[in-house]
Amino acid sequence: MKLTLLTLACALLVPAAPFAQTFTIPDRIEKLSAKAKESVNVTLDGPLLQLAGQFLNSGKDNERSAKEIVSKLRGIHVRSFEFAKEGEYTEADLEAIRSQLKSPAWTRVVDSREEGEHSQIFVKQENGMLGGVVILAAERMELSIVSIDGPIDLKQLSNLAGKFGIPSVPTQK
Amino acid sequence: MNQMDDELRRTLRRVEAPDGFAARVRERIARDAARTVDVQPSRFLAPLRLAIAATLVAAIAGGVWYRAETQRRVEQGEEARRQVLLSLSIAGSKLHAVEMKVNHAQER
Repeated sequence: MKLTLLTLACALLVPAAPFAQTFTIPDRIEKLSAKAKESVNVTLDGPLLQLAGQFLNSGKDNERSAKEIVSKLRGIHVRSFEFAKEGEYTEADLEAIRSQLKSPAWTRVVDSREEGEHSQIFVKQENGMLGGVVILAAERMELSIVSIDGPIDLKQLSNLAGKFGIPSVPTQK
Repeated sequence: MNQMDDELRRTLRRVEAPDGFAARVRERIARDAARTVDVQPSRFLAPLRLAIAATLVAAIAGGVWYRAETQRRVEQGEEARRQVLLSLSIAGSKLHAVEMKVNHAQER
């Protein structure tokens, strides 16, 4: 009985930290922008995201979808690098990302490898719903990390590809 | 007629002012002048003018600040909007690409 109570107490006292659901862009990834030919660095959290939502035009079809998505989100973080040559980032850089996206908080739903390209999608569950997504797309000379924190509809997000003047990424057939 | 002349002469005869009359008049004039100075509006007008000027300056400065702040907020909002669209576009694009790859792999 004592052992059961002790086990129960320990279980209650175990901090949630090891199963932390928050994802942060590792410092070593931030440093890659110095090596990149081109880079995109977007960090939008709480108030700034809400402000952006106010400026999205519901009258425009594309922006209406974006506004709908953004209204539920807590944060968007994007790091995208285009390098002049191969080997500018290492597997250790990617591991610093993957190490944060562990079960039980996170689930890898897609892992696709194809001729020097490695794409992974991780999602987290929140109250039985999709509570965030991290997309990791690594190519020989490109690396993109997208982290979206908050309830999101992946189909709705996928439909935004090629909109807002940015072309959809072509795929090999 | 003479009686009337006499009466007029008697009434209008020169009478000397009592002693110290001139001094009392001068003193009273000086006292009245001093009292007039006391109620001169210029004493209150200066601070009033200063207060009005300060209020105007504060109102103008407030207006300028409000306008600059509104402009800054609009610029910040537009930039945030642009970044959201860029982020969602990149995210959608990458997601779409992965989706295509997975579908393509399943077809093979």
